[in-house]
Amino acid sequence: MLDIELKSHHMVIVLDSDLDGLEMVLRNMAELSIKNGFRRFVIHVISTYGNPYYLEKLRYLLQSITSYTVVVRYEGSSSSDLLKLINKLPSDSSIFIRRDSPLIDALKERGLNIYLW
Amino acid sequence: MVIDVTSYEVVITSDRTMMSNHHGKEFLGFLATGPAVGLPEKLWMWLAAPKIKVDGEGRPIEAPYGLRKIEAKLIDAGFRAAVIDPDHIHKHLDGMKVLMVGHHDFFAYGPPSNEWWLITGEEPVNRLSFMRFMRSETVRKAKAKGVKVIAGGPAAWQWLWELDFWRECGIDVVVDGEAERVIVDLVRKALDGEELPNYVFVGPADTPSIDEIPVIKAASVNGLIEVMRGCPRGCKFCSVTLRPLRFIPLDKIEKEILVNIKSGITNAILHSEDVLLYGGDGIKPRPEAVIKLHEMVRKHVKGSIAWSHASLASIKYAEDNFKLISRLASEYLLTEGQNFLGVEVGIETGSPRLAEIIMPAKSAPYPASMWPEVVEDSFRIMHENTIIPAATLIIGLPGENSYDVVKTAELIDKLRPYRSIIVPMFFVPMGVLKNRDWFKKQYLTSDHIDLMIRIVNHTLYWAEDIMNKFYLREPYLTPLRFLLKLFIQYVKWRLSRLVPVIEATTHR
Repeated sequence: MLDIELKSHHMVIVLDSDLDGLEMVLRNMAELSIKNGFRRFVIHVISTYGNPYYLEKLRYLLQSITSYTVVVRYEGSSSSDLLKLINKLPSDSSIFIRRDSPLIDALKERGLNIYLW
Repeated sequence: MVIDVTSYEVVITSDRTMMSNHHGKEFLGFLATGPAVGLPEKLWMWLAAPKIKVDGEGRPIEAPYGLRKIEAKLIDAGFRAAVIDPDHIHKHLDGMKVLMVGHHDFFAYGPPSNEWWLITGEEPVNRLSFMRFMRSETVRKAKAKGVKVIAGGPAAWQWLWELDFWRECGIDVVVDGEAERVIVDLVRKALDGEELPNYVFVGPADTPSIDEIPVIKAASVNGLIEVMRGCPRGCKFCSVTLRPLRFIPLDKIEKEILVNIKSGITNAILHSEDVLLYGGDGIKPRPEAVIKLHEMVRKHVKGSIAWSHASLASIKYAEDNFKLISRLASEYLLTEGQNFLGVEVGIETGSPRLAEIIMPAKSAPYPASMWPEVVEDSFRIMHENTIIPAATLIIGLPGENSYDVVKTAELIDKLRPYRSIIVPMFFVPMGVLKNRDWFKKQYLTSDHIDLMIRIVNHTLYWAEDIMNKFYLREPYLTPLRFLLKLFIQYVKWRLSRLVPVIEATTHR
C-alpha cells in the first residue's frame, strides 16, 4: 500500500456492468470530504471485465474527479475476492454495487456502508 | 566489445519525439505532433526530432524537463536512477528493475496532434514513434524479466483510452498529475515487489510544495526551466489551473540555469503558464519581480531567452501600466545574442460571450467583454517589441455557437498586421471540462472551415516572413530552412486543393 493510501477513505466498486452509480460515488466523495475532510480516496475494483479493461467502465468517473487524489486498484472478479478485500479494509469503507449483482449476497449481514444502484 | 556502464535500477525514458532538442529550436518539436505530410517519415522525424548526443551510458546531454525532475527526485531519495536515451536502454537491461516512461502526448490525443490526425486522417509521428518504442525488443525483454513499468506525465490520462495497448505493454501503474510527492514511495514499493495500484491521480492536496520540488541534476532540452507552477486564471478547459500557484525561488531557478550552462546549453526557456505573473499580485504582474527574474537569467544566459507561455492580458496590463514589455525587450531580451523572443499565448476564442462562460478570468484585470481588444492590443505590443507569439485557438469549446465562430474569424482578420503563428486546436476535454465530449470531425461546420482557412492563411503569410528574417538563420540550419520552406509551399498547394473537398463534406 502506498503511503498516500494510508490516510485515504476506501471505496469498493463492484463493476459488472456500466457504472450507472457514478453520481452516487461522486456524491459520497463530496460528503466525506466535507464531513471528514478526506482529500484522498482509494477505489478498489472487483470486476469481471478484468485488468486493465475494467478501467474503461471507470473512465468517466476518473475524468470527473479533479479535486481529490485517487488511487485505483484491481482486486479480482469473484465473490471470494470481494470477501477477502472487505475483510482487510476499514469498516467504514463505502461499497458500491449494482442492486441485482450476483455478488450482493456475499455482503449481506455485514453491517457495511453499502450503496446500491 | 564489452561496454562497462553503471547499472541503473530505475531507467527513465521516452520515445525519440520527446528525447530530442529539435535542432535547438523548440518550436520545431511541434512537427512531431503531425503526420509526415509530403515527406518520408524518416525525414520528417529528422526535421522534428533528431537524435540527441549521449554519453557512454546512453544518458542524453539534454532531456525533457519533466523526466529530469523525476530523475532528480529519485536520485535525492537514494535510488540509482537515470534518464536514458530510448536507443540506449538495452545497455541497462541487466540492472533495470523499474522502467518509467513519460510523454506530453503518448497517443496523439492532445492538441494539436489530434487535430492534424483528424484533418489528414493519418496518425501523427509522436504516436507512431512512442508505440514503436514500447513494442521494441528491449522493452519487451525488460517486461519479460519482470521490470515494472510506470507511465506518467501530462498525457497520462490518455492510457485510459488505450487499454489494449496498456495490456500489451504490461503497464503496471499510470501516474497522472504532479508526481514529486508520490513517486519515491511508488518506486520503492515497485522495487520491493509490492502489489502496485493501476492508476494514481494526484489531486491538488498532494501537489508538491516548493521544498519538495527538486533541482534538476542534468541539462533540460533547450535549457527549459520552470519558474512557476499552476495558474490563477481558472480557465475551464485547462488542467494546469487545477493546481495551486507556486513561484520557484530565484536561487532554485539560478541553480538549474547553471546546471544547463555547465552542459553547454547557452539558451534558456522560462517555463510558466504566464511568465509575467512571476511573483505577481494575483492576476496583475509586479514589475520588480519580473525584472529581477530576467536580470538574474540574463546574467548567466548569453544566448537567447524565450518564454514558454504568457497571457495576453498580462502583456497588455504590463505594458500599459509599467512599459514593462518594452523594458524587458530592450534591456534583457533583445540583446546581442538575440533578435526576437518566442512565446506561446492563448487566444482560444474571439467571442466575448464565450470567453465570459469558459474563461472569465483570462482577460483579467480587464473584463471578459473586452477580450478581443485585449488580444489585439497585446498582439500589437508584441509586434512592436519583436516578440513572436505562437497562439492557440480552440475550436468546438462546449457551448460554442456560430456567433462565437464568426466573432473569432473577425478577430483573426484584425490580427493580420501582427507577426505571429496561430494554431487552431480542436477541443480536448481537460481541466474541469475533462468529462465533456471530444470535438469530432462531424461537428465541423462551414463557419469552422472558414475560420480555419483564415487562420492557416494568416500563419502561412507570417511563417515565410519569420523564416526570412528571424528563424533558422544559422548557416548550419540551411538544409532545415530549405525543407521547411518547401513544406510551406506544399501546404499552400494542398490547401488550395483540399478546401473545396472539405467544404463539400461539412454541414452548415
